[in-house]
Amino acid sequence: MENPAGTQTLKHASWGRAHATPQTLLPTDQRQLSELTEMPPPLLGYGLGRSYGDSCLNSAGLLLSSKPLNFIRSFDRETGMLRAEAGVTLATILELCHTPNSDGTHWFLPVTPGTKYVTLGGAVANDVHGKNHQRRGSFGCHVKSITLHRGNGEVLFCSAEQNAELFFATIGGMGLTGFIGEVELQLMRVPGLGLEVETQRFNHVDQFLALADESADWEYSVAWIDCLAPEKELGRGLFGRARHVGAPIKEYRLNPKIAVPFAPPICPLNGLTLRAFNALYLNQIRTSGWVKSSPDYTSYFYPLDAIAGWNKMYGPKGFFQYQCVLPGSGAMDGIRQLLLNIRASGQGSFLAVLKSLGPISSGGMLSFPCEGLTLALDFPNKGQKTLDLLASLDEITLAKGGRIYPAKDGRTPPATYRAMMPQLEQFTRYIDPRFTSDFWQRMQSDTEK
Amino acid sequence: MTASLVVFGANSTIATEVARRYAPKNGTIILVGRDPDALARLQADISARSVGAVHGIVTDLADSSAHAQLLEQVKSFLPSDAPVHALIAYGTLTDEAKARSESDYFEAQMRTNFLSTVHLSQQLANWLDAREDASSLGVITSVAGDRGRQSNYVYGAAKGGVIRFLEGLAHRYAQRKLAIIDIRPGFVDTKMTASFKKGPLWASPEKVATDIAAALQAQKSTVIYTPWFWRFIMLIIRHVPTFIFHRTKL
Repeated sequence: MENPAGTQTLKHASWGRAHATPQTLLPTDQRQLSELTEMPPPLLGYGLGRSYGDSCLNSAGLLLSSKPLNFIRSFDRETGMLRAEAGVTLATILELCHTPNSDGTHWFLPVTPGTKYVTLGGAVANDVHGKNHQRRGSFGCHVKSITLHRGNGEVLFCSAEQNAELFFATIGGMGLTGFIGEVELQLMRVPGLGLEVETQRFNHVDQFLALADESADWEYSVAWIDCLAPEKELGRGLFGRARHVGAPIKEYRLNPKIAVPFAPPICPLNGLTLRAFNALYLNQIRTSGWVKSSPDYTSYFYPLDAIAGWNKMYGPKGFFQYQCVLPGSGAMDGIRQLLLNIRASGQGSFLAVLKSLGPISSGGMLSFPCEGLTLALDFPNKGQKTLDLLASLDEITLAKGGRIYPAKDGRTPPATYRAMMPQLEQFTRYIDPRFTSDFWQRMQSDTEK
Repeated sequence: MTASLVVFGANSTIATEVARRYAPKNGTIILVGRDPDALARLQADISARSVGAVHGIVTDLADSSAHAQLLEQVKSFLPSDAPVHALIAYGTLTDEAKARSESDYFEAQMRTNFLSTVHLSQQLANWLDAREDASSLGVITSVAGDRGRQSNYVYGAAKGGVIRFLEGLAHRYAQRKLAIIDIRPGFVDTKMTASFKKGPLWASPEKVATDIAAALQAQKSTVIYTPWFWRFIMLIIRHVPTFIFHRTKL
C-alpha cells in the first residue's frame, strides 16, 4: 500500500527530542478518516507531540495528524458540556472560557496539564492530570464520550454506558485502540479566572506532607523542589497552593513571548547552570510563612508555554523526562530514595515537581495516576549514564509498588513496565490490529525471537 | 459598538481563522460559502466560540448574478448601527496547463478569481459607503498578482486585475469612511496548497489571519503583505529587468 498524498516528514516528533527517527505525518481531516481502511498500516493518531518519549511516535508507519480536525461541535454555556473534534487544543478551550456566564462565573478546564498546547485527543489518550488531582481526578474523569475510529472502518461511540470497555481502554490508552475523532468534555464552573495563590518555602522534602495536609481545601497544590540541593536540605523547595477567585481577568498573553529558534550545538544546561537556576528560583521566597500573590492563570498554569520551543534548549541530544508515582505510606521514603539517587549521580534537572495524587480514578485501564506522591523531572540526555540512572530510579519505583508515566517515558524496559502495570495484559485485547506506536513496539521487543 | 464580520468564502482555511479571531468579540458574524456541510461545521464552531449572532449563507460566489440577492440576505442579518468588516476570501488555485488548453476551465477560473470578485467588491463598496458607520472591505489577492510570471500568470492575472480594481476603489473612497484593504499573502499552508512541498517561506494560516484581522480592525485603506517580508521580495521581483527575468523559470 502506498502512502496517501499530502504526507510530510517530521524529525523530533516528540517533545524530549531524544528520539530522532523521522516520522511520516498525514494531515487527517474527515475525508481521510472515511478512507481509513485504505491507509497502509500501522497507524497512530498524533496531536501536538507533547509526549516526551516514544508514545506519540510510529516509526514503522503513518502518524495521522489531527490538526485539521480542529472544529468545535457544540458548547452548552448553561451546562458547561463541550463537544469537539479531537484536534481542538486546550488553548482553544480556554479561549472559550473567557466569556463570563450570566451569573459572573466562568467555565474552566476541570483538569489541566502543564501546557495548554495539547489536543483533546492527546489529553484523553494520556489521561493527563494536573495540580488538582486530589479533588478532580484526571482528565478522563470529565470525559463523557469518545468517538473512536477503528482501523477496520468502524466508528464507535464510546462512553461508560456504551462500548464501555473500549471507552476505558482508550482513556490513557495512548492512541493504541484507534483514532480518537471526537470528545465530549464536561467543563468546571469557577467563580472567576483570577487566582489567589500562596507560596511557602520549605527546607527539606519531609515538610511536604504537612504542607499538603494544611492545603487540603485549596483547589490546586504543587511543590517545586531542588533536586540538586545538599543532602541536609534534600528536596528543599517551594510549596504553592491556589484557588480561583472572582477577580477581573488580568492582561495576559495567549501566545509565547519568545521563541527558541534552534537547538544550541551543545547543551548549555549543566550541573553549574542548573544549580544556579534552582537556587535563584527558590530564593524568590526568603521569608517564612505563606506569601500571597495573584498571577494571571496563564503564568500560573503554563509558565513554560511562554517560551516557544523551550525543549530545544537541551541541545541536539534532547532530554528524558522521568515521572513516577509511589503509592501508600512508604511513598515519602521512596521520594527520599529517588532524590538521594539523583543527587549521587550528579545528573539533575531544573526543579522537580512533587505532587500528591488522590484516590479518584478515571477508570482508564493504563491510567497513570494513583493515590500517592508523584515526582517528575528532566534529565539532559547524556547517553548511557542517563539511561543507567533512570534504570536505578525504576528499581526504586518498582520496589515501592509504583509506576512510571508512559507519556513521559521513552526507555523503560518492557519487563519493568509490565511489572508496574499488570493491567497491560487486559489492555492488549483492545488494541486495534492496524494501529501501533513505538512505545508499543518497545513493549513487545522482549517477546520477539 | 463591536464590528460585525461578513466573510465571503468562509470555508477557506484563512477565512476560518479570521472568523475565529472575531468570535470572542461577540459581535455578529456572517459566514458565506458554497459547501453546505463545511459551512454547517464552521457555523457550529464559530457559534461555540461566540455569544453573538452567527449566520450561515450557502451560495456560489462565482455567480455574479446572485450577488444582489446575497447582499439583501446579509443586510437582513446585520445590526444597523455597528461597523461592518467585510472580507472576500474565496478563490481557486488555477491548474495553469489546464487553463492554457481548456477554454471553459480558463473562463471559469477568470470568473471565480477576477470577474465575480470585482463585481462583489463593487456591490459591497456601494452598500458600505452609504452606511453611517466606518467600514472595512478586505479582499485577499496574492503576491502572484504583483507581476505576470510564466509559472502562474492565469491565476496571477486574475489577482492582478483585482489589485488594480482595489487601487481604484481605494482612490474613489479615499476621503470617505470606507477602508479598502488589499491583502497579499505569499505561500500559506492551507487546503488550497495541501499538495505542495512546504519550505521556510511558508506561513501558517493562523499568522496570516492575525494580520488580516488587525488590518480590518485598523479601518484604514492599505495594501498588506502577509507575512511582512513578501513586500520586499515582491519589490525586487517587480523591478528585475525583463531581459533578465525572461531567462528565469519563475
